[in-house]
Amino acid sequence: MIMQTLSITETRNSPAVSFDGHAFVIKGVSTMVNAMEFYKSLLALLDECAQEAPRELQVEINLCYYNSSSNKCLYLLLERVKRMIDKGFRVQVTWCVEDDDEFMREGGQTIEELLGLKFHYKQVPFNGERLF
Amino acid sequence: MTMNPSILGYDGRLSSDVRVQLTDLLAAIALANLGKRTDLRKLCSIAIELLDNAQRHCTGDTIHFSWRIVGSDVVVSVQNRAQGQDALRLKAQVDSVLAMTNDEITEAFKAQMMNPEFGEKGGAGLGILQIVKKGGKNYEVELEPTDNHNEYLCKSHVKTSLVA
Repeated sequence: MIMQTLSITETRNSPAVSFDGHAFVIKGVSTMVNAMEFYKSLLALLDECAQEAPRELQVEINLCYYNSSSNKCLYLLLERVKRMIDKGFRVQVTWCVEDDDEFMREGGQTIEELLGLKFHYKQVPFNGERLF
Repeated sequence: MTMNPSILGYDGRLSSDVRVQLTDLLAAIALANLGKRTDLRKLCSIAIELLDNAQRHCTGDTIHFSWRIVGSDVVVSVQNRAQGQDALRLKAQVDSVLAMTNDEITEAFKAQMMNPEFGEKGGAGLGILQIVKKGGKNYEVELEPTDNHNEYLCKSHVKTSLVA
């Protein structure tokens, strides 16, 4: 079976995504009005990945902001990750938070609680340029 | 606590490009007037969710958007025309969420997050809950009939305290 990979370039309202089979990274901002249009290919990718042999996987969510439509998509994405863990994948989920930003921290905690996952919270410095 | 008054206002068509530009401008204005604070994105998220809703449901040519600092509050207003059923649903949902306790809002938010369904126009059903959860308890929706019997002018106003 060929391992799936993916690379999506960031836009002004959608995040960069990279997946090399071992590390899945979402970075930037996610404020699309119809976020599912963007995330459905990522959900499909993780569904395919889950069919492969269990292995180590790093998942990093490094968003500075996401809207509520994206919020549900992130939940659905991490729900897939939870299923992979249940199948034997060894996954670390890193959830980045800029300078104790309440929005990102609370968002991570809600998904963590709902899925019964344990995130690693990584503080990243606010670069002073980008709020959204 | 009294902040300097500031305002961001826009009247015109709302597209994804315009929304991105408005969001950038909002970020700059919020940072300049409120300084870096840990709840800055949370405060601005209310405006972004209102704009998302307006973009999804607007049936007219233009929307009105304003973001103001008034005393120790941030006041966000959005006006747009919407189909009758969308407008009435918005009003009913806001009234329903405002009648909830904080714990009920938190539970409703979690339940809606776990509901995999999305609306026809991409809404997750979380926006109103999020606005109120993030501090917008003072949320009013007025519906004005228009010359088109199937449409209303939806006027949404949300006031949030800047005092933690």
